[in-house]
Amino acid sequence: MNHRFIMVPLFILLIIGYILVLPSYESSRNAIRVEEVKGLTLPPAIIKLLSLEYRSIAADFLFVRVSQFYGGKIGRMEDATPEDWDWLHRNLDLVTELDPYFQDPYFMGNAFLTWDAGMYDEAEALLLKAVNARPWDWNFPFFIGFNRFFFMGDNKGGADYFLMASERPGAWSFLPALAARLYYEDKRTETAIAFLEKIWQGEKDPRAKSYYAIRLDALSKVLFLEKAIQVYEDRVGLPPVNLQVLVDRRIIKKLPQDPYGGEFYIDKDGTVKSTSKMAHIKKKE
Amino acid sequence: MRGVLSLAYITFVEGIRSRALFGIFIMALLMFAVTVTLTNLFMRDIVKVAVDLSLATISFSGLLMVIFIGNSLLSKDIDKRTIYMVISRPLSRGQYIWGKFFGIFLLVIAAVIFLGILSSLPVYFAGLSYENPESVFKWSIYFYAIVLIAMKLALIASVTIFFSSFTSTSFISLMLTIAAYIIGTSTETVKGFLDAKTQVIEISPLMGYVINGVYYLFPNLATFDIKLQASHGLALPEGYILWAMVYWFFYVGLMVSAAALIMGRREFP
Repeated sequence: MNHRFIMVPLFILLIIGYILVLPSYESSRNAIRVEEVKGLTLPPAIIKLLSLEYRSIAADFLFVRVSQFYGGKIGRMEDATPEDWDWLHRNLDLVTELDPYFQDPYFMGNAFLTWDAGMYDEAEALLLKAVNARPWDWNFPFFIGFNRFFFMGDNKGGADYFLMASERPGAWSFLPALAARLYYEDKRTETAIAFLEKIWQGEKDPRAKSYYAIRLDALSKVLFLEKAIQVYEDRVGLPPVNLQVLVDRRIIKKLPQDPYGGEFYIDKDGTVKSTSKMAHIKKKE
Repeated sequence: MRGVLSLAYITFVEGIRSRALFGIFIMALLMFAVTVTLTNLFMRDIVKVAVDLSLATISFSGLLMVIFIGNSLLSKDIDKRTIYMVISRPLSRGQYIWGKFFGIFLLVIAAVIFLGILSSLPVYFAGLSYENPESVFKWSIYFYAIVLIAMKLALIASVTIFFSSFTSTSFISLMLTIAAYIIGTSTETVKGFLDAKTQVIEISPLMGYVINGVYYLFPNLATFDIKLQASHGLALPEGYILWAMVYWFFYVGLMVSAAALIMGRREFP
């Protein structure tokens, strides 16, 4: 019997079999891979040795691994645990040890470690590395300034960093004016919106862009409510007990919806906050 | 001298004709193509990633070329006993070694020029794809990085020749060259740890001497690695390239002369 009569059908059968098997194989492989994505973070000294002359490539691939993990979490709208944030911080620290000049990990650290994780000190330590390694880059003193002012309530520290940023090439021309605004008065939400709009305009990555767009949307609703509260106070002479009063008094038509899925309320200190804490609330099934 | 040059030319042509070289070039082409796709995974520092990948590709494929082809060009003569034909000619053994070295050196230069031109394409296109005002990139430093890679490869070739001069099979000299490469790239980092004295574990004085000895004995290949500077457009210290060339000249000279001396005393069965 001619070998071809066996070999050709066998080859075709194997191809079909291979294609049929792939999905099941992939899912069984992925079950391990998801677990694997996190895991141990090696000390920078060891990775420096192991990566031989390919240190900056090691930094690139490590960064891709980190961003894929968090991209997946955001895509699935999952809550990250404190351990997840800690892992993110350690890995970004490692990436920037391998290549301290690499911009992307600093941007990522600034976005997640502050807004989502609330790890302000860690974020600042990471950004300080960028401030020193990239003396030509105004972005990082600017970010530290913003975090100082917005998250840590340190207006003076924020203004100092804005001034440092303004002295670097290419910095926004309005930074000194903003610094001055921070030194003398406190329009927190408005200043934050002004900053975020600039960041949003400069952002190229569509994922990060939509991330900032949602945050801008939430902040502009907070500003809307704050202005309504001001109108109420001017009319009544007292601060409102809750936000519903603003609708009852017909200052606003209805309460705006928090894009993160929470509800706005007036906090004890009189500021407008949301039950979502400006992070995505996982939908209940 | 004419003998050395003609042997260099023969070695070069033999290397160019090697099928392994085509395989290595195809791999490099694929990696340059992948660079364009991979840069899409990054947000801002796209040129940096393209430079990282391009320079690593030149360095890695060049390394494969020197280790495998460079090694076989010399060891094959000994393995296959064709060296008898060469050393029976009016050509001293020293001239034979220098001729082989210059041949491999020419091969390295030709390959690096070819890969260097190709590698600049993904870098150029990455620069067009996204304008990042804070990214600093200078073609001059990129060019220096490629020159230093070529020097590093030639230095590894001289180490290969040195090992081939006294080992009996090409496999042993291949292994020794790979070991020397790994030690050469990491010796500076290890010495850095030792000098920093910040580690928790105490290092014995003897170990300190060993590390220092290894540092001076093996080539410090980190000298020729300015990929980080190239990808971020960081200025090199004044005279850096000049001192790297001086170091290279002496180390390569020592390796090839030592090989020539050993070869002169070697007895072939």
